[in-house]
Amino acid sequence: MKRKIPIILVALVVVLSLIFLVASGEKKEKAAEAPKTAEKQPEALTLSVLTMTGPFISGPIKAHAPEFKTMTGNTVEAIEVSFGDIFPKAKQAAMTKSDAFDMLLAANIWMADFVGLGYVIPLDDYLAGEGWYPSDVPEGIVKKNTFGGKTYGLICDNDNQYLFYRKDILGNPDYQAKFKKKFGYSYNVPPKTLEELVDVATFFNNWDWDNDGEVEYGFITNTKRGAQAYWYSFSWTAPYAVIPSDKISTPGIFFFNPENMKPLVNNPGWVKGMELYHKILKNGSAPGLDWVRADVINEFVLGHAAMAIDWGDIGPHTYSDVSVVQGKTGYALPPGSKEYWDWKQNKWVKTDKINYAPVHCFNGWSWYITSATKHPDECWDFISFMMSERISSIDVATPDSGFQPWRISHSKNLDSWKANRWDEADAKAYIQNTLDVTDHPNSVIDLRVPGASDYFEGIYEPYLTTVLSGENTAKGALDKVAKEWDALTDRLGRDKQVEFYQWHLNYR
Amino acid sequence: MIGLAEKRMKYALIVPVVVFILVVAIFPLLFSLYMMLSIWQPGTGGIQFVGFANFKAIGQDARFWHALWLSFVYVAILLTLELCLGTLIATVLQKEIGGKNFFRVSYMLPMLLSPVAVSYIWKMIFDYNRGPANHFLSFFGIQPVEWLSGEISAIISLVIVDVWQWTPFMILTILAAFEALPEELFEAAVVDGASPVKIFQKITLPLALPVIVTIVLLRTIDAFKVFDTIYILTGGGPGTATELLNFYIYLRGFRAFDLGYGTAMSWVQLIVIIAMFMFFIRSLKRIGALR
Repeated sequence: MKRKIPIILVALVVVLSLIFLVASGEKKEKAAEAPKTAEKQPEALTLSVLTMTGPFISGPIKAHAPEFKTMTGNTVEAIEVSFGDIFPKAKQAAMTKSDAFDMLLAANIWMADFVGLGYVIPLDDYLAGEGWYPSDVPEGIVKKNTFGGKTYGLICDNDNQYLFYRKDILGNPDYQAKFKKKFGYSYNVPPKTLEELVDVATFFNNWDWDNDGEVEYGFITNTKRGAQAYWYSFSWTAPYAVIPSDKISTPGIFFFNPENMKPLVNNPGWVKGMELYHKILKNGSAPGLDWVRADVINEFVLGHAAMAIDWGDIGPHTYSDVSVVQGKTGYALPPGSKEYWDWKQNKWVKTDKINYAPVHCFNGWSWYITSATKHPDECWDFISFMMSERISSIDVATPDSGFQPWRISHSKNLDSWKANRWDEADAKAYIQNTLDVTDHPNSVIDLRVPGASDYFEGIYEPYLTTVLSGENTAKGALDKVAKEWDALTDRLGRDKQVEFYQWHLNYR
Repeated sequence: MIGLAEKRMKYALIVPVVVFILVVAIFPLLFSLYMMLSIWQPGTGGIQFVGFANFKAIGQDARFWHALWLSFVYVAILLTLELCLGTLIATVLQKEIGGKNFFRVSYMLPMLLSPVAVSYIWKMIFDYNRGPANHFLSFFGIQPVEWLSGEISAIISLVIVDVWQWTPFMILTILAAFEALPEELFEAAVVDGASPVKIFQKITLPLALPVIVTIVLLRTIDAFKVFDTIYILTGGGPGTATELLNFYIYLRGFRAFDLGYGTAMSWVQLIVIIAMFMFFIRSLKRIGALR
């Protein structure tokens, strides 16, 4: 028997290894079709949603789940994790086909990963029964909901970055005269180009322009690695790097050449935009590089910065109790440029019109139904309830929801906005600007290919922060990014990535 | 004579333990050996055996070598500081001073706190605009420091946090070693007219050396695996200025889900730690602390 023990041990190891290898050798699957349950479950269900820790984003689920339970008997439970852990958790669940989550309220930019892993189901059949889709949704959002011709997710939060500015400060005639004396020209309110924005921010930086006894700043942005800093750089590079929609058959090409996935990130357009971003940090921004997203919102709302480029959340926060900028905030497209780098012809092109290229950073929080759920119909009931005009109108006007207007009808019924103390004209201007950015012809949809977070968080952002801290030149850093992006594309499979990128762009 | 049934019963009783060890220890170890020679992005296809390709890639991965080098620098600096401070404070606490017990307890508090909580506290302290650290410096006319966003200052900040939290461990252990030394030797040295410095140099330190080398070994291994403070304080930035090896392995293995490559890097890290372990064991043998 003593001699048999090692044999038994080895046999056990071999058997375990074989079981694991067989389990891990899965075939690439197509995204599962929505299973149709013949009948509704008679007993009450508990449906789980993986999402971000509240109050933002998960807040609306908790707010409306009790009403849904009264209507259907089903309980909806938000499983909350920090922002940085949502994608790893969802991806782990997708890779292991775990049924831990019935729904995801997660980023639209992760759609390619989820579709590639067959973890989310198409929603087209469900949507066919909804009268409002797509007629009540901006085209820019319909595009983002779609991947390879099918609708896999539904955006309930319209995310794109744009300019917020102090109307009262930038509109002050004395300040305008002083600026003209110093810079030799009159600025637009709001600034129309990025170069003008840098000048205006430099002018308003580091002095007490609202006479409250405190020093204020021209501009505020997020500069911290691991805290979504990379999105804040895109508004600075896109106008110089995106070919206008009337000059190219597929608009919004920004990150890669769609023919071969060769990075565009180190072309002269990107480099120029990045240099300008560094310049505003040095001359026109609040000092320090510890600023994170919450600081951008707070500093603007507390009246410490004259301008910011951020997601729409600043809007509802200007009506919060601590705000000193209620009714004093203007909303505009992120500034553009009067030249762009034509990467197809390798040359700079001057423009008469300003080349705006707003970026749909993050694209938006989006509802998904997982292919692992046993109750897709009940999940759809909840999603449909949350996306209804009544419920969504409440959410987009609530500061702590984190949701921005995404239905055209959100600009028509302003009762929820007025209930949250908004001035009607201000609410209209805010909603309209959000929808204008969404549907801008040159707008860039944030990258939806497998490994998107690795391209940005793993590679781009570390190098970006070296440019912002002045330890690297824009060109030097972006060359390294391009080299590492290329290597990552090879590792993930260039042909497959090209295919995904073309689906993402609806490439023609 | 032991009966056959009794023999079988013996083996039956050890089977659960053997299976448990196989499942939680032996199998993962063997599987990781296979993984380091493979490419596997779960969900996108099976495991693909690639031989030593991951190690070849590691050889060409500038970020890996940067992370490894940075880990050595980080460990060397903080261990030097912790050891010097630990020895100094332990020497002071050994003396008969007023409030000795209060200091002994209060010095231990940092290491009792969760590293995550400690990191968040230090994140606030180091904040460029609102942190007490820069506010304090301003009293002396010193310009604010980019504690967490400067290439050099960020790694120094990580060292400060680690030294603050783990020097107490050094103090506790070295103090225990000092207090266990035989009193007669010191009495004899004093009678012979040896100065306090000579006593420390010739008696205290040599006798406490085995304990000191052991805690240096433990702290080296621990410091090499630092993760939580980096994750919370700097996220590895600015750039890759605080991207130590353990953090880089996490990024590649669990963010990019490049599990084969991540496993290969983990094995390299393990080999480095084993090499350091062997070095310390040899040192212990050389000084006679181990036979």
